[in-house]
Amino acid sequence: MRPMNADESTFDLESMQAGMVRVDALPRDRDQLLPALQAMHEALHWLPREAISYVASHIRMPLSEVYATTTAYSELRLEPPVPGQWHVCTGVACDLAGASTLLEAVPGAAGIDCQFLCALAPVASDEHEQLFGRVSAEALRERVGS
Amino acid sequence: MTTTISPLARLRERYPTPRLPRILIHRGTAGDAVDAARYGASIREALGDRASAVADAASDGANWAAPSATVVHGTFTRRFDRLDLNGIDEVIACFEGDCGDEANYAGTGGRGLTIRLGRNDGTLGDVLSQSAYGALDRALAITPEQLLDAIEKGGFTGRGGAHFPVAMKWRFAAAHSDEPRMLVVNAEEGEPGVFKDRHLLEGDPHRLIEGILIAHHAVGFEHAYVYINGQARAARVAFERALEDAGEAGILDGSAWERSFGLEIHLRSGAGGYVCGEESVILNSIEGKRPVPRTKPPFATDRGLFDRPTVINNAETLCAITTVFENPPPPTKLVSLSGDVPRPGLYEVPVDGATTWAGLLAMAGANPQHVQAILLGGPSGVFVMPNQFEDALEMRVLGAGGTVVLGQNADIARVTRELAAYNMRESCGECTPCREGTARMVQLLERPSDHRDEIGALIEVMTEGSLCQLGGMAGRPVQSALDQVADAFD
Repeated sequence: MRPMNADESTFDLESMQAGMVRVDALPRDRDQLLPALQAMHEALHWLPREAISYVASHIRMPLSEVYATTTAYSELRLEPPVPGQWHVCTGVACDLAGASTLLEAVPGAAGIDCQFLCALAPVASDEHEQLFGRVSAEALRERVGS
Repeated sequence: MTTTISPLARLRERYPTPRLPRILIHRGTAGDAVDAARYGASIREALGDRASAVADAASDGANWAAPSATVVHGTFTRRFDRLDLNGIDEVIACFEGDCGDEANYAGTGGRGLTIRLGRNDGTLGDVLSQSAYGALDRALAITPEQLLDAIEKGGFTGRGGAHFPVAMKWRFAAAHSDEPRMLVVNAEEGEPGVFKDRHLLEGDPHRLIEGILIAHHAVGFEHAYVYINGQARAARVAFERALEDAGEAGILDGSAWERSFGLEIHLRSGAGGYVCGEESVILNSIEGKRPVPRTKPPFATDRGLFDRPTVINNAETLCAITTVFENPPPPTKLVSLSGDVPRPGLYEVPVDGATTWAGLLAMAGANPQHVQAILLGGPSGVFVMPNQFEDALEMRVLGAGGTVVLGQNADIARVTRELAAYNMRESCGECTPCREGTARMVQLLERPSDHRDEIGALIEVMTEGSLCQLGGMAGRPVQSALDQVADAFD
C-alpha cells in the first residue's frame, strides 16, 4: 500500500480553505463521509493527508477508516494530478478502435479505463476530464502538444 | 358533471410548450465530445434575430450521428447528421420550410422510455407537452394495490441485470408497513460498455422523477437516494435541474395534486469503482462505510439502507415503469451498442420474441457475416457467437444491455485478457475468492491451454464463493471464450 505522504505534500492553501468551508457546511454524520471527501477533492483536485484528516475529524471517524475508504474509490486521487495530462480510454470499444495506436503515437498520454462514451470510440480526455470522441492520432498529438 | 381542471392540465397551463418551428442541438456528453456546441453556435449566428428558436437538447441515442441537430415542425421532425461533414445550410433551409423530400431519419427504435430523448430542451413545459407525469397522474387515481397489480401484469423486471420482478420486490418492502422504508436508485452504471442511464438522465430526467414518485405511491417511502456515477456530471446536472423544477411546480411534494407525498429525495455521486454498481456496495457507500459488498441475507427489502427495508432499483427500471399504463406496456430494453458497427449508439430494442441478434446488428447497419462475436455484459459477460445470431433477444440474457460488436479483425483472446485484468483491478479485496481468484486468472490466461482444468476449478470457486457478482461473474467471459474459441489463445 502507498504511504499516505508519497512526497512532500504540497497543496494550494486557498483551495484547502475552500474545501474546509464546504466540509464545514455538511452535517457531522457518517453518511456525509463520501460527500465530504468529494467536496475536498473538488476544491483541491486531490486529497493530501491534511484534507483526509480534516474530513475524519469533521465526520468524527478514525483517520485509518477514512483513509481506507478513500483508497477504495478510484476517482479520489491520493497524489496531485499531473498538469496537462491527457488520457486515452482503453475500454473494449476504444481498444477495437485503435486506442493502443493512439497511445503509441502520443507518448505523453496515459491509458484510462472505460469512459462510457463507447459509441464515439476512440475517446480521449484532457486534464479537466473533458471527453473527446472519434479522436485521431493527429488531432490528439496536436492537442497534447498545444 | 364537474368541470374542474385536472392537476396535469393546470401544470401544462402554467408551464407552456415551446414555440415551433425550432431547432434542437444534440449536446449532452456525447454531442459535446464531438464539438456539437460549436455547430449550435454557428446555427444561432446564421439565424440572427431568430436564434431564440434554437435550443440545446441532449443526445437522442444516435451517437453515430453526432454532432447533429433536429428541426421540429409540429409532428414532422428531421434530424441532420454529422454536421462536421455536412454543413449547416440544410438545417437552416429546413427550419425555413424546405426540408427536402425524404424524412432522412435513422432512429434508435425509441418509442417507449426513450421517446423524449433529444426531443426536449430540458424545460418542464417541454416534457409536460410530451406526456411527462401522465403515468404518475394515472397512478395516483388508483390504490397502491391496484398499481402493484398493474406493474405485475405488465411483466416489469429489473433492468440492471438481475431481471427480478419489480412488483415482487416492491411488495416485499411494502409489507414492512410499520417501519420507514427507503428507495435507492442505482444510476452508478459502472459497467464498461454501458451508457444508458447517462442518456436517460441527461435527456429525460423527469422520467426518472416520475418513476420514483410512482414507486413511492406503490410502496410509500420516507427517503429516496439517487446514486449517480461520479463521472456522469452532465447527468447529475440535468437531474438536479429537473428536481428543482419539479419541486417548484409542486410535483415532488404532491401539492400539484393537492396531496402530501412526504418523500425526501437525496442525490449522491459515486466516486468510481465497478463494484459500486453492486447493490449492497451502494448501501455501504451511502452510509459512509467502505464500499464493499454485504453478505446476504438479510436482503435489502428486509434490512437495507440504515437497516431499513429498502428497495434498490436501477434507473432504467424506474424509467420503464412510467410506461405501465400503455396498452400493452412496450417490452423494450435499452441496449448500449458499440464496437465494429456503422451506427453505434443507444438502442431501445423490442424484446418481444421476434427481434434477434441479427436484427439488432441490422439496426446498427452491420452485416452479421462480418461479425466475429458480440461481447454482451462486459467484464461479467459472455461472447455471443454467429451460430446464436438467429436467437431471439431475451430480457434475462441481455443483463444491463452492454454490447460490444467484435468485427473480423478483433482479437477475442486479447479482449478476454483485458477483461480479466479489469476484474483484477476492480476487485475490492473484501473476499478471498475474488481478490486472489481474479489475479490468478490473469496469470493462467497467459497460456490457458496448459491450465484448462485449473481455470475451470478456479471459475467454480469464484462463482460459488465470492461475496458479490463481481467475483461471481468474473469467470464468465473466460469460460465463454475458452468454450467457443479456445484456438484464439494459442
